[in-house]
Formats: sequence, C-alpha cells, structure tokens
Amino acid sequence: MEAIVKKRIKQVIKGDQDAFGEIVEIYKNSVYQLCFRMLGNRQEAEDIAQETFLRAYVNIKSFNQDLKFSTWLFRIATNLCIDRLRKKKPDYYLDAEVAGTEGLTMYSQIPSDTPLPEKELESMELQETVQKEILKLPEKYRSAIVLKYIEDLSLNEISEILDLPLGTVKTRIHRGREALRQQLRYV
Amino acid sequence: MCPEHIIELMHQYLDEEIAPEEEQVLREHLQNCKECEVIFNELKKTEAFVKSISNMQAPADFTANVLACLPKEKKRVLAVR
Repeated sequence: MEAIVKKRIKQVIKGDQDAFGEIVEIYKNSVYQLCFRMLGNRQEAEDIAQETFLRAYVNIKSFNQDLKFSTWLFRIATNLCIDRLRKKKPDYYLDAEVAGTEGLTMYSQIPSDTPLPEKELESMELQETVQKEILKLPEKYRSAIVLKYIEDLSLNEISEILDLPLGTVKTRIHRGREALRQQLRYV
Repeated sequence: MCPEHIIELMHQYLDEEIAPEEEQVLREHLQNCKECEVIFNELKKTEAFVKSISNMQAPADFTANVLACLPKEKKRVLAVR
C-alpha cells in the first residue's frame, strides 16, 4: 500500500491530478471518519476532510517521503479538526479537565455488568450514544481516543501524528478511556 | 478503594504494554477484588463500544469534489502532458 502511494506521490509532484485522485480514494473513508468522530457533524466532516486533501495536495512537495503518508495526512486532518473546534467552542471548554483518576473512587456501588447482546451493540442508538460521549471529551483526549480506537493506530503512530511524546499519548488515552467508562458503564 | 497502581496496570493491559509479571499481579488482584473486576470489565466494554462505531464511508462524490477544487494551474500542466 505504502509503495503504491509513494509512486502516486511522485506522479502528483509531476502534475498528475489523476494520481492524486487515487490517493484520495485510498484514504477518503479513514480521513472522513476521523473528521466526523472529532466534529460530530457530517457536513463539517466533509468540509474538513476535503480541506485535508487540498492541503496535502498543495504541500505535497514538503512531504518527507521517508515517512508514512497516512501519518502526515492524519496530522493535517487532526490539526484542521482542532482548529475548527477552537473556532466554535468557548475557551473555558478547552481547558476543562475530565475527572481523571478522582472519578475512580465512585465505583463502589456499581452493579455487576452483563455483556450486551451483539445486535444491541450494533444498534444505531448505541452508536449515537458512543459518538455523543466521544464528543464530550476535551479535544486532546478525543483526538487520541479516535486515532486509537476508530483508526486503529499504534501508540507510536499516534505520538507521531499528534507530535507528542509517547508518555503524553498514553496519559491522554488512559484519561479518555476512563472518562468514557464512567459515561458508558450503565449503557 | 482500589489501589491506583492496579488501575494503571489495567490501562497497560489494554494498551497491550503490560509485562508478564505485572499481568500476573493484575490477575491475582482481580480474583480477590470485586470492585477492580467491575472496573476492568467496564473498561473492556467501553473499548468494545468505541471500536464498534468505526465504519464510516465518505460521501459518494467525495473524490470528484476534491479533484474539482484542486488549484487550476496544475490542471493546465496536466492538459499539456
């Protein structure tokens, strides 16, 4: 996959727009999904995903071809999503911390859980609930959680995409996971 | 109240970064601590939920829309090719 993409990138640099179309085809779903899970709105997700590819196209010469193209692309997409979120949300929200470890002291009265049947797991209602809870996460936890669980990326790759030390990525995933656990445990 | 280092081990387990001897510590603790077991199961359930929503498709005309927006000067290069 990476080899094909690198070949296409060389063609794009020479001015071949059809080759760029092939790159878009390969990554469109994952980029669109990343944007949708970050923003929670289809139209915005489409706009930002489109903007991601336009930026990639315009800046393709600055892409370091020793790197994985998807890492670079996801970095552009994540940054654009975060910019968009900052424009639309009041500042105080950005600094809001999720109750991290403190929340762990509240578990004492939890009834034992029963696993959900598979069909329920797949239901639209559950999907919407999960999406809503992801959107409640502060953006720094949200991006880490989305890259890990929706895009199924390794911690190392997430650290490259977000340009953060591995330890910071782990902390964000742990906090995000804990926040989601508290919201989803009765579902 | 559950020990913080056990919670940390749960996260290491979920990140698939737990050392075998630490995993043993976690498993032994979970056998003897109902509360930690509940948290651990909830964390695993949360993971399954979040993973279950990953399967979205971009709109059908997405690629065509992107190509239509590319800067025009490049198109001229293409036409000459």
